[in-house]
Amino acid sequence: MVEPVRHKKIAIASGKGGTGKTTVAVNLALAANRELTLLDCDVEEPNAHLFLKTEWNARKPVKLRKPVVKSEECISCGRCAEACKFNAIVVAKTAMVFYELCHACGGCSLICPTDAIEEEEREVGSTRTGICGKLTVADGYLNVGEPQAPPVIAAVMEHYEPSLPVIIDAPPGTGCSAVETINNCDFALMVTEPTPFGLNDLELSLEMAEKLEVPSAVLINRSDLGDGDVKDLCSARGVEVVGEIPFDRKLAEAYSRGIPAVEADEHYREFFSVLYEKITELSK
Amino acid sequence: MKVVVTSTGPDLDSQLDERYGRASYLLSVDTESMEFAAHDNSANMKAMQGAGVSTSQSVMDMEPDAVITGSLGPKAFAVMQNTGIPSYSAKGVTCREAVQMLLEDKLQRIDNAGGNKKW
Repeated sequence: MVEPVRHKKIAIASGKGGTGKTTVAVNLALAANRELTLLDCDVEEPNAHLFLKTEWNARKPVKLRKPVVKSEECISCGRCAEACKFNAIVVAKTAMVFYELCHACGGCSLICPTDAIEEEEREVGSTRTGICGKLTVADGYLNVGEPQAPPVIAAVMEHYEPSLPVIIDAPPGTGCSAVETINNCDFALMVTEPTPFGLNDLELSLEMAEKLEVPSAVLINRSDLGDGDVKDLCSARGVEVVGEIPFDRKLAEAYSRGIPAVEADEHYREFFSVLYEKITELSK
Repeated sequence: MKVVVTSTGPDLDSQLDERYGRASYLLSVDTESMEFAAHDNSANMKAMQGAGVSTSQSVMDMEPDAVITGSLGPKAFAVMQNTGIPSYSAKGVTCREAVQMLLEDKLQRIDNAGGNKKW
């Protein structure tokens, strides 16, 4: 019997925002020129869809459990507040819940001796799925005012299909959102730029990937602007620089019109197709 | 009367801590005898989130008649309103001076959430 293939989850990430994650993710997915899944996990600002003419065919709400205290049954014993690791519930004269702090773990309702805590559902965001040529595309939206992106990111990740290669546009930074995404991936391509900001944030994201035990490589965007410090950092840390994209006005113009680089210039189709093969090999 | 003061140190001559949820210590002071007990607030101070909420829980457990701090954030303010324990604002004084000022009716009652004003 043949073992079913499980394709590795490849994240396109960066510590600094605006380095070109989405550009790289979208163009890699298109240049691969095969059936592939593209997941946009930047649920606070999903933008991969701006470059793709996706035919959306499903939307799914992402819901979290929400503890609601029935005051007539609450005996103000305070055990829910003691159990809550997020300080989201407190018992003053009556129990008070702060939903913006709640991680929906369900601990308070489990521990309540009088079953005074009921769990209702509330929508915190949604995911969409659709088709764009050979690509299956999914992205997520965190509702305005909601502070926690990870549950929506996890819902986008559920659209990973092991039999297909997958490219994941990760959220920027090294916070909860980035950790939630990278931690669930097998490989991270860090996109950076050769500037002091790019350098500082690249170092942070390489450290994060190392802690999460996710192997990574670096792509330098606008590689002819700035200095050589990013390359020095990579060689000092033993991280491979798998590609460089020099600044190109034509690329910026295409981007501003929502045209993917691979469609604007054959040169980029070649570049991203080679890069796709390279990182597929590296992630094995 | 029993008063809880947010403090930067473990005794009455320490500077009052104007931060509520992330205060270093909570001093529970008996205003008649000026005897006090210092409660280390570092667990709440280091909380990832909800420091004001959990500090309010610690304050409630001491069952004071009043609280003196710098200001209260929106969540802590809501909790303290619910408890019915009045809170008062003091700045740039020691805990001993703050208690004295409260007894002389020189402190302003905190009647709104002002913790985020500077932002």
